Amino acid sequence: MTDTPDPYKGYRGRGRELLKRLGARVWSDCTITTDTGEFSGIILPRSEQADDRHIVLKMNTGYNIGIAVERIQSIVEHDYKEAHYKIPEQEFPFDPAKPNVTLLGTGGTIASRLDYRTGAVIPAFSPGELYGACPELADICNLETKKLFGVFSENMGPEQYLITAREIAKQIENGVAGIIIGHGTDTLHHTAAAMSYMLQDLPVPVILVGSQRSSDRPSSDAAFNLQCAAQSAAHGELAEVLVCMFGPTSDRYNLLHRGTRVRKMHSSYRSTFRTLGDTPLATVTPEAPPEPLRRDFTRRDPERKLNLYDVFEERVAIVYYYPNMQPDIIESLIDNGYKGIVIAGTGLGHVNKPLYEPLRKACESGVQVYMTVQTLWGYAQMYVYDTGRDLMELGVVPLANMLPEAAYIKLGWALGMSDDAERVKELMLTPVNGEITEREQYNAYVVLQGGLPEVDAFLHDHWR
Amino acid sequence: MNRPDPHTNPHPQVRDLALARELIVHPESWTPELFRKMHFMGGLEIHQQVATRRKLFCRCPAVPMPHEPAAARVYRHMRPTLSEMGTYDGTALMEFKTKKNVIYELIDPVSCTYEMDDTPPFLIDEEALRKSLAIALMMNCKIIDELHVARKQYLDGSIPTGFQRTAIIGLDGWIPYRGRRIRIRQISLEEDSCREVNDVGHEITFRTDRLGFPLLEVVTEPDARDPWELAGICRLLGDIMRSSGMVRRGMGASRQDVNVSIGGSTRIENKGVSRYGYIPRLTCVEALRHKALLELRDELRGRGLNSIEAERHVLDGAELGFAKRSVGLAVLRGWRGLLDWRTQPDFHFVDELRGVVRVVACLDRFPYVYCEHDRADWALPTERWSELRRRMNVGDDDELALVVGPENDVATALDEIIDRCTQALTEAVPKQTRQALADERLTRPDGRRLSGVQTDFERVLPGADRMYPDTDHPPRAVSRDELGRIDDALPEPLWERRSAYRAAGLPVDVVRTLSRERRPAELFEELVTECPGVDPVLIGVTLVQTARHLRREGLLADIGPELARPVFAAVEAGLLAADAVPRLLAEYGARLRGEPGLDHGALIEEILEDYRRLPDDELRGVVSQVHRAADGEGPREPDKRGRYLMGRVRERIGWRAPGRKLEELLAAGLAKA
Repeated sequence: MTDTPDPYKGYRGRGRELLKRLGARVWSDCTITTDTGEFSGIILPRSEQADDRHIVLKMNTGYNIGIAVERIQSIVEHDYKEAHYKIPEQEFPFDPAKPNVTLLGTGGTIASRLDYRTGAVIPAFSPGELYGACPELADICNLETKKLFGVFSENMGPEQYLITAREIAKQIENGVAGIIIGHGTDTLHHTAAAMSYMLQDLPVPVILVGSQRSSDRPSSDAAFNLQCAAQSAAHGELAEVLVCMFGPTSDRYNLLHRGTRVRKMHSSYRSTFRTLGDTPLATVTPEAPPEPLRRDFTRRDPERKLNLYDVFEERVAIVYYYPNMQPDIIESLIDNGYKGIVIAGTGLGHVNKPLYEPLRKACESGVQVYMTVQTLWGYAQMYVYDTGRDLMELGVVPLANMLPEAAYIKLGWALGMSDDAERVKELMLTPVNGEITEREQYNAYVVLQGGLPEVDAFLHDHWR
Repeated sequence: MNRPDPHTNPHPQVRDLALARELIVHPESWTPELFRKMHFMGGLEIHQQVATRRKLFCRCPAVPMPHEPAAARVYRHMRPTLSEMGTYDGTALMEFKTKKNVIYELIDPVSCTYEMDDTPPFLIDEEALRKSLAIALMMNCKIIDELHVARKQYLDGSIPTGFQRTAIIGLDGWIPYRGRRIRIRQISLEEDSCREVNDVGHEITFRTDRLGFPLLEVVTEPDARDPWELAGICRLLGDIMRSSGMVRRGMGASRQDVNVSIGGSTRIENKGVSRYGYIPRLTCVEALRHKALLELRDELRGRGLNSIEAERHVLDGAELGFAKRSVGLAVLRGWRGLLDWRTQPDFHFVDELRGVVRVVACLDRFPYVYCEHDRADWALPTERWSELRRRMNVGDDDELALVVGPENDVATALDEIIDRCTQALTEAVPKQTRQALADERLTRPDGRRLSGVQTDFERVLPGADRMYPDTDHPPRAVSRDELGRIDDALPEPLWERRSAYRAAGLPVDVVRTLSRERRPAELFEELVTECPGVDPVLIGVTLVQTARHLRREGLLADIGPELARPVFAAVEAGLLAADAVPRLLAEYGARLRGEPGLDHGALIEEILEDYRRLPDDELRGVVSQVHRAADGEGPREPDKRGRYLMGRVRERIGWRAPGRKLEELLAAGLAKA
């Protein structure tokens, strides 16, 4: 609730006038008389995007209805019932035998409740609130929480990356067994990449987690994800920046993805996060610590000294190439003082001829230009075709199999690390944690094609 | 927030009638008067699928596929979410306690990622909305100006999101019944749930083919005064919806929930009533169950019990002959004999315990709970009970309930048993949703068959707290223009058409069919207008009775306009005798069956020509020829002779003259002779 409540919250134009004229307000428990009869209930705030022709009423059956302004003759207020939403808190139990984990909140739907009347999201965040919503967490670890900010995923950016990285460093210094970061899912992989570069030589796990179905829904994946994240942070052997999200869309297990190789691949599936060009590191369930799928990960070692590189240069862009792209796209970046450009090129890393000139200009004027592939899987191998060779000649540097988003974040970080072009290039081409791999295993590119009998048989025999 | 249940029975418990345990076993005593004296109140919730091309919130075809094998499966769980008041809904909590693993079978051609809860809803299907608004108008509802989709939570897994998307479209309607108005409280348009395939222990499986079908929920006020009225109202509502021509027919397309209370009791919702025919008995049985439970409370109070004193023990299963299972024992102080308190024709109070234990504790091995009064072959021997009584030091006034199952579930079961017994004192008739035991459910898990429809516990009755606005869906305004167009296209109300049909002298079955079947009714109206000279009774009887007869004989699937129009035009023009119509249609059907390739239009023309009515003078000629030819032949007795001559005439001219006219001519001839 805001401090100075607007008695006509969300209503504008005709709706607002009517409420004023009839002396009614939001949260009035009232009877509305219209030309077809009476309706009783509580006047609810209205969504600001909605039209100005209806008043919303919550009836005692729990249903909401909209009544047309032009039909309303009178409103008689019987009572005033403003709702105050609070998430019940229960004290999170402390068990000295259990590891201590800190959950840092950035926003998103992992831990939130809906304000059921306005549709607004109330973050459930204190340990007590989380315990109220998911008491199983207390069986896994002791939990402290800290809210860093409450922003939607799309509003995360460099400023937030730096604050988050510094806070993680502080928590690690305080000796926690692991960190969980609650985050909206849309740009979860950008933040994961940023943390991977900024926090090197981690002694303990840093687990990023979100949810694809908000926690106000009974089918939410939030509680499952939180428990898996808690298992990974508290008991996991993998001390890296990891994304912990659904493996299949069924409630079976989560996957732990390396922060530099993970990407959101579906707008709404639970199992939207996939490791690309590599395989995930481990599986984890709410009941048990992660089970590694491979051996080449950094193990937990509380004695290891963390290196924090909290820098970021904001004047960096991704250019997603498309046929007939015009030179002015690149030119405008140069003119606007951008220091780095990551191109997501076609095929093995190509763009059309008209871009050669502005790219040459960019490279010559000191703008760092790197090439990734918009196919997402596979390497930028620019020596294969003339086009690629021409581009390298101009100064465009191929980034092997680095994902475009991971490359964008890395370039911002590297340009923050150094002003020296050669040093930046060296940083870009030296993998911090798997953003470039030397080889692509046989099973690193698996996008099963539905409709094939053998694939459909696989889908039939395994949980989706 | 104070939210009174709109179905609140304001009447006190009536005690000056025979005891329920007597009435229950004497169905001949169940009369409307009996239930009216008990202050019976009955209401309905009718769920009817709307006939649409697509599902309500996704673009999957709305086609039931009960036999299509599952393409893939999804495994999920449901968690309760906090209500807007910061508490958990009772049903939600109970369903979470059951900790079910939910499996969804994906039926490829008719389920998509929306059914998997992996894609948000698409905008509401306009065809479903238009048809639903039409039906709400037919029931005289006030239409909502702006529809808001709500989420109604169901944690039993029957919907993968954990809630049903639903929107009220109309309020405060009415339909006429026996000279009074039955009030319609509300009509909402919602998505249908999954069909349950299997429910064993902690695992429940659902199919997703039916999921998302547009479903109308019509809720009446509790205006039925006895069980038979309730059935009548149910039938009328079904007929009204059917008469719109906009609803789906066939298995599972409509389901009824019956809400029942009597003076002193509370509304109980009974689900899964698949046929009207079950309603009177089901409703009688349920009302008497309320009476029995109210009397049980009287008995408990009479014994001086004002609270429940119970002990719970967990015993070693092996010792009691239940290998590898845990045994829970509830000792109910002062309850001696009361688990045997009759509540339904085949059920006693112990069965109330079995219901909650089966559902909440997920025990799946019948009989779930044992007591000393069990009479079936699975009953525990008397010695076992005496031994238990000795060992556990149980008093003579105390009653025992024994529950068998996995250790965790037994603990839950004991809690539930004691809760349910507490409710016997506090609420007498606890708020529940119950399932009708009908059809295949008449056979109990031990193979015993019930003597008739009865009810069993399904879940706690949900409150208004489980309604949340659906933030995935913008409100949808219904404009007056849109509503006007729908209203203009509505047929005349069923009840008005019924009186008109009756006034026209149509037989009862024809009235009933025409009033609820849109196609023959429309054809009837057209033909009556086009052929004012033809008796409407002939048209009605032809379209209903003759059509039914020909269908049963396998001669003709349907009498459509392309057939009826030329036939009645011929009657109107005096070219076809009225009584020739059924014969002509039968011949048409027979010939078409013999030669399916025949051109329908040409065939009708040809047959109409064969049946073409003879001019009167020609007919008189034929009659006098027959008279002459039959002179001295055939029976003499006047009646028989009339029929004999009629036969001879028909041999010569077939049905090219109306019977009445022939009779007239023959009679005149006979008189002359």
